[in-house]
Amino acid sequence: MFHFSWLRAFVGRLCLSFLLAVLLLPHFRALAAPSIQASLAETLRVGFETRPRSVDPRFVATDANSQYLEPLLHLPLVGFSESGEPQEIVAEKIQFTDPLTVVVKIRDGIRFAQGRSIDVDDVVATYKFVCFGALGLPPSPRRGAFERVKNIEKVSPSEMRLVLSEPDASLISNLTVGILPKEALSRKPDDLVGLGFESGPFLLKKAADDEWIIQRNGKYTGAPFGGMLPRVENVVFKILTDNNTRYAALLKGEIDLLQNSVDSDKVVEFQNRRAGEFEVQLKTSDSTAFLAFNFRHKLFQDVRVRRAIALAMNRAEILKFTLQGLGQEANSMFPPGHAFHFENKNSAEHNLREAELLLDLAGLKDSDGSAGPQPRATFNIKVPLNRERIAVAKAIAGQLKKVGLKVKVEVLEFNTFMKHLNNGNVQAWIAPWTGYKDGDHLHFVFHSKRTPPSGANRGFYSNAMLDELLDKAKSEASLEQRRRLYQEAQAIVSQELPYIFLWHRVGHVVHSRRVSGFRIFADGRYTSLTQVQVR
Amino acid sequence: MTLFKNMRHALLRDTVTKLSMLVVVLWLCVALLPHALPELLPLDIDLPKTRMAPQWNLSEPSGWFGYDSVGTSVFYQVLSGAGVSLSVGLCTVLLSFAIGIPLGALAGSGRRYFDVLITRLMDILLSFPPLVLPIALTALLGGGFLNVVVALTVSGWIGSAKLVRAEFRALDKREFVEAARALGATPRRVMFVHMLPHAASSLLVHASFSLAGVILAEAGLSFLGLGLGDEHPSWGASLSEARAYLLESPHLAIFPSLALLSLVLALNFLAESLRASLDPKAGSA
Repeated sequence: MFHFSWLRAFVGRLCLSFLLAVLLLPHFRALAAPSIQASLAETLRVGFETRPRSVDPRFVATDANSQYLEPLLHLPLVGFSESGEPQEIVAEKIQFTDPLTVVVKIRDGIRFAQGRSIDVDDVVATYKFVCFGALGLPPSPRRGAFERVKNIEKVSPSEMRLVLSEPDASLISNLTVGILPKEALSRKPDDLVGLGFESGPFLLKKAADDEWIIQRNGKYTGAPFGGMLPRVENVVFKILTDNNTRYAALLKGEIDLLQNSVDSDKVVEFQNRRAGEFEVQLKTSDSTAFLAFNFRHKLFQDVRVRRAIALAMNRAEILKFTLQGLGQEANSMFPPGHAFHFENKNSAEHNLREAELLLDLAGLKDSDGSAGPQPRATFNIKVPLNRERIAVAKAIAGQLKKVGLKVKVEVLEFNTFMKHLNNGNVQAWIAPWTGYKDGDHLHFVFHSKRTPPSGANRGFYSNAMLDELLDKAKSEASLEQRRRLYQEAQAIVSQELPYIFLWHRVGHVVHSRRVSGFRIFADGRYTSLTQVQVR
Repeated sequence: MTLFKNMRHALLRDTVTKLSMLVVVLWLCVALLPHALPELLPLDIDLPKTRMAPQWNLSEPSGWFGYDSVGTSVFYQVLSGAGVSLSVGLCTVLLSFAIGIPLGALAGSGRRYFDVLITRLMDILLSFPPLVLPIALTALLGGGFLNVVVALTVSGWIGSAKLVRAEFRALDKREFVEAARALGATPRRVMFVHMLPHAASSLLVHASFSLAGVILAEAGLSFLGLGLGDEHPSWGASLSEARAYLLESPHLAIFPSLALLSLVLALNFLAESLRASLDPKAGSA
C-alpha cells in the first residue's frame, strides 16, 4: 500500500493543476486578446432603443437603427448630403441616357476590408440580388423600391447599366444599398460578420441581442472622397429597451450618447439641470409621428369616423404636456422646408362638437351621452414598448373618450409590434416615419400595391386616384412636375385621412462631456461617429 | 361554533389587530366603490394636470395625491387599484383552495400512489423561485384578469395542499376517524365531513397569509407590465410608472406604495392574530 501513495499524491496534484488551469485559462486568454473594454478612451458607447433587425445590405428592412448602421459598414452607390440631396459615393457618375436607361460609373480604388477593390461585378451582383433574389435565399425586403428595374448588366469594366420597364424618377435616391463582394451573396442572411466584406469606415465585430460592436476599419479608403477614418477604435451599441434604464445608464456613465431615445422631459432636465456633465443638441428632424388605421377594420372604412377622430384629438395639448413642446404639429407627411412639403389647408382642428356630429352621421350614436358608460365604438391602438409613445396613446385615448369612443391601448415589444403591423393584425397604431428623402416615400406608404412585404401600406389603404398620381410622379422626370403631383397626392391623403399626422419631432442628442465631435442630422444618421473623440 | 368564537376572540384581542381589521374592512369597502358607483372615481386624462403635486383642497379630492404623467388623479387610481388587488387576491386564494384542498386530501388519504404523484408534482413546482412561474405564464398567455389569476394559482395551490395533506396524515389514526370508518363511512365522507373541519382553522390562517402574498405578487406582475392591462388601474402598474419620476414627482410612488403597504401589513397582522388564537400549539390565546 505504501508504495502507491506517491502515485496517489501525483494524480491528486495533476488533477488540481488541471482544475486550476481550466479555471484560470479564460482569464489568461482575456489578458492576451485585445479587449474591446481595454481602453475606455477608445470606445464610444451608444444606447439603442431596439436591436437593429439586420445590417446585411440585402435584408435591411424599415427599422431606423438598421438603416443608420448600414452605411457605416457597407458603402452604397449613393448617399445623401445634409440637405437631403443625393450624393455619389461608390458611384462616380450616374447618368440617365434615356428615360429607361441609367448608366452608373463605379469609382476606382474603394476597397473591401478583405483588401480587394469594389468592382462593377460586385455592384451588379448586389443589385441583381436585391431586385431579382437568389435561389435558396429569402427575397430582399428592398425589392419593392426597384420594381421597375427590368435588367442590370455590366457594360464595361467600370460601368453598369440599369434598364427600366417604366421611367422611375426616384431610382437614384433608392441606390442606397450597401455594396457586397459578389462571393458574399450566396451566404445566408446576416452571415457576414468577421469576413472583411465591409467597405465603410467600420467593421461589424459583434451582433448580439444585448449589444452590437463596430470597430474602426483600418483599411477604409473613403477618406479621399469625403469620408473620414474614424477616430475612435470601437463603438459599442448597447440595446436598452427600457426608457428608465437608458436614462440611468447615461447618468451613471455606462453609455456616452443617446440620440432620439431619451424622453422629452429628461431632455429638458439634461438641458436645465445637468448642463455641466452633459451636452444636448437639438435639431428639427425629418420625422413624422402619425396615428394610422387598418382599412380592413370596418369602423375605419368610413372617412367620417377618421375625420371625427382627427377632430377629437388635441395634438397641441399632447405636444405641450407630454412631449414638452419638442416638436411641431404635423399636417402632412413632410415637414416645412422639405422639398415635397404640402401645406395642408384642410387640417382638422380640435373640435369636439363637430367630431360628435360626424360620428352621429356615421351611425355611431351615443345613447347615454359622452359621460355614460356605453361607448359609441371601441377599438384598440397598438404601440411599441416606449414610455413616451404609451403616454401619447393614453392621452389620445383620453381625448377620444370625450366623444364617446373607447380606446384600449395595447403595448407590445418592438419586434412583436412590427410583426403585428406587417401581418395586418392591428386596428390602429402610432409610429413615426424618419429619414425619408424623396416624395416617393408616399408611394411606399400609401400605394395600394405596396402592402407588406413589398411596401409599408400596412393599413391596406386603397385609392385608385392616389395610385395613379403616385405612379405618374414616380415616372415624371421634371422635379417641378413631381412636386405638383405629390402636392395633389397629399391633398387626397389630407381628405381621406389614412393617417392622422401628429407632429414632426425635434431630434435630440444627449451625450457626456467626454464625447466631442458628434453632430446631429435631421434624418438621425450616425455618420458623424467617424469624427467623434472620447476623452 | 368554536372556530367562529375563536376567530372573534382573535380579531378583538388587541389594538393592532383591531386597527388591522379596520384597515382591511376599509379597503374592502373601497374595492367595492368602482363597481357600485363608477362615477365616483373618474380616471379621466387631463393633460394640463400632468404630474401636478398633491393639493390638500377639501373640495377637490382628485388632487389630494397629485396627478400622474397623463394628468389622471393618483387618489382615484389608488382607490380603484384596491378593487384590482383584492379581487385578484380573493379569486386566486379561492381557486388555489379549490385545487389544493382536494389534491392535499387525496395525498393525505393514505393511498401511496396518489401521495407520491401529488407530492412530486408539488416538489417540481416548488423548485421554481416564487414569481418565476407566474411571470413565465403571463408572458406566454398575456395579461388580463383570468390569466393573472390562473398564473398565480399554478403555484398558489401548493401551500393549501401541503397543509391539508399534513393535517390528514396526522388525523388518520385518531379515534374519531377510526370510529367513523368502523360505522361504515365512505372514504370521501371521512375526509370531507370528519377530517376537513379539523384543518379549517389552519386553512383560515393560511388564507390570510396567502391573500397578502397574492396581492404582492399581483403588484409585482403589474410592475413588470404583465398584470391586468392598462384599463385596470393597479398599484403595481402605478409604481412602475412612478420609477421614471422618483426624484421630480415622488408622490407618484409614495401613495400607491402606502396603499400596498397598509393592506399587506394589515392582512399579515390579522393572519398572525388568527394563528395565535386558533393554533392550539401557540398557547397564547
